[in-house]
Amino acid sequence: MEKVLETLNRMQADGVMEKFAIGGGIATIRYLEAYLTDDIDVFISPVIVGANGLVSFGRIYEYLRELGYPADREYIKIEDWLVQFVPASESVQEEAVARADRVAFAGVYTLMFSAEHLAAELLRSGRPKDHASVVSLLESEQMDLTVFRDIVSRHGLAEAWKKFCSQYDLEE
Amino acid sequence: MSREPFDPNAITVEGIFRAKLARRQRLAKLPFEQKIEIVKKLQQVPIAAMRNEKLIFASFLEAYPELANEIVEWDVVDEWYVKRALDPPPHPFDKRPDIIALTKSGKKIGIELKSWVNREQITEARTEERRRENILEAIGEQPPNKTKHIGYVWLFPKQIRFEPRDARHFREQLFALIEQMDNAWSQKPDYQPNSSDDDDVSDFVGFPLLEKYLEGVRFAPLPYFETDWIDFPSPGGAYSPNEMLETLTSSLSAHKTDERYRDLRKHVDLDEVYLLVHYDFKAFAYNTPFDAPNFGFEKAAEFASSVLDGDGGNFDRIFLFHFLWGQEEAYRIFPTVAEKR
Repeated sequence: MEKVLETLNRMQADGVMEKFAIGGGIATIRYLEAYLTDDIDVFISPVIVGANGLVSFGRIYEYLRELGYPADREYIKIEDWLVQFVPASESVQEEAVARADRVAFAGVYTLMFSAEHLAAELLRSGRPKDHASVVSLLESEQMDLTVFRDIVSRHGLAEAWKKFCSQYDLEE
Repeated sequence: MSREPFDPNAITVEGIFRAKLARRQRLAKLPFEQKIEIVKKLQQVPIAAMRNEKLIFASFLEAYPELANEIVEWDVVDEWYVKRALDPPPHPFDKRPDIIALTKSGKKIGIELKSWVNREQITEARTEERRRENILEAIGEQPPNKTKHIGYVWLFPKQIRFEPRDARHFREQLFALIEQMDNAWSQKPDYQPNSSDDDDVSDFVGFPLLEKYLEGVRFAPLPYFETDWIDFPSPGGAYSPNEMLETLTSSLSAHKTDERYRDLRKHVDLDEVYLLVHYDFKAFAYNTPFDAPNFGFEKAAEFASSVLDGDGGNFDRIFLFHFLWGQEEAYRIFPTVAEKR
C-alpha cells in the first residue's frame, strides 16, 4: 500500500488535488479488525467541478494515466490496490478531510478519517453494513463520544443518530 | 501465569463466543501495517480450498445416524471410481459430487459438501463485490425511501456479468417492483401492522431484467432506512449473527439453484442428490460467529429451513452440520423442518 500512499502524496504536492483523506473500509480497518477489502476510498476536497458543471476527475485520471495507472471504470489500479476517488461533497466528508489524522504506514505518512468522523460518515451513508461498522466502532471504545456527538449535531445528522440509537438500543 | 488445561470436550457455545470476541479485540489492536498485511493475505487466498470431504462426511454420519444406517458404502468421488475400477463420467462430472454412496435399498446417491463460509467463498466475494457495484451503478442515485411499508430492500444477484445497456430498464423494473410490493403489502394474508416479517421475491414475471440478474429480492419492513435503502447483504466484515445468517441465506439460495447440479443426476447416474452445508473449524477460525446468547446452531438450522421454504432446488435433501470438536450437531433442513439427530 506504500506505493498508493506515495502516489497520493505526490498528487497533492503537484497540485492535482488540494486535500485528501482515506475513508471507507481501509479507515475502518485502522480501528477494527482486518477484513477483506480491495479498494481504497480517497475523499478529495474541494470538489473539482468541470466546465459542464459536473464533478470532474479528468485531471486526476490524466495525471495517473501518465504515471502508468490507467482507469478501470471508476477505479484506478495502483500496484495491487483499486483506488477510488470520492468527491467530499457532504459537509461531514469535507470536515473529515480537513481534520483528518496524520497516520504513518510503513514509513509513509498519509491522512485518514478520525474515528469520530468515520463513524459520522458511516452513520450518514446509512447502509446496513455501514451501521454495523458504526456499532463496532462504538464498541471498540476508540471514539471520543463528545467529539462524535458534536460532529453529528453540526452536520445535520442528529435525527439519523436518534434513529440509529433507537434501532440498536443505544444511549444517545 | 496459570493456564487451565485445554479440554476439547468441554467447549461451550458461550465459550466459543467469548473466545471470538476476545480474538476480535486482539486483532483490532494489531498495528495498522499488520492489519493491511492480513487484508493482502485475504486477497491472495487461492481458489482451491483445502479439501477434507472425507473427514467431514464421516463425522456427519456419526452425528446423523438415520442416514448412516441407510448407507452401505461410500467414498469421496475420486476414490469411488478408482477403488471400483469404474470409468468415471466425462469431465466435469468425474469430480462431482464430492461424495458418492450406495444405500441398503440400492439407491446411488451423491452428496455435495458446502462450507457455510469458507476461504474460497471469501475470494469469490471479491468478484461478487464487483457484480454488486455494477448493479448499484445501474440503480444510480437512490431516491429517498417514500414507501409506506418497506424499510429496506436487499438484492441477491445472479452470478452473471451486468451489461451496462440494461441499466436503465433494470432500474425502472426494480422501482416498479418495489412500488408493486409496497402497494400490495397491506393486502397480504398474514399482514400485521408493525410486523418485522420480510418478504422474499424470486418470481419476476413481468420484470425480465430482474429475472436476468437477480436470484431474489428481500423486502424488509424493519429497520427503516430513508436513504441508501436498496443494497445487498454484507459479504463480510461485520460482526453480528445476522451477518452470518445472511451469508448462509446467500449460500443456500445460490447453491440450491446452481446450474452445475441440475443435470448431475443424469450425468453421474444418481438416484438422488443431497447437499450438506457444514460449519467447520475453518469457518470458526476465519469468520464471524453465527451464535450469540439465545441463538445457537439449532436456531440457525430452523432459520435455514425457513429460508429454503420447502424448495430444495436441485437437491433432494439438504442438511446443516455443525462440525466443531465436541459440538457436532446435524439437522435435515429440507424436505422437512429442522429436525435434530
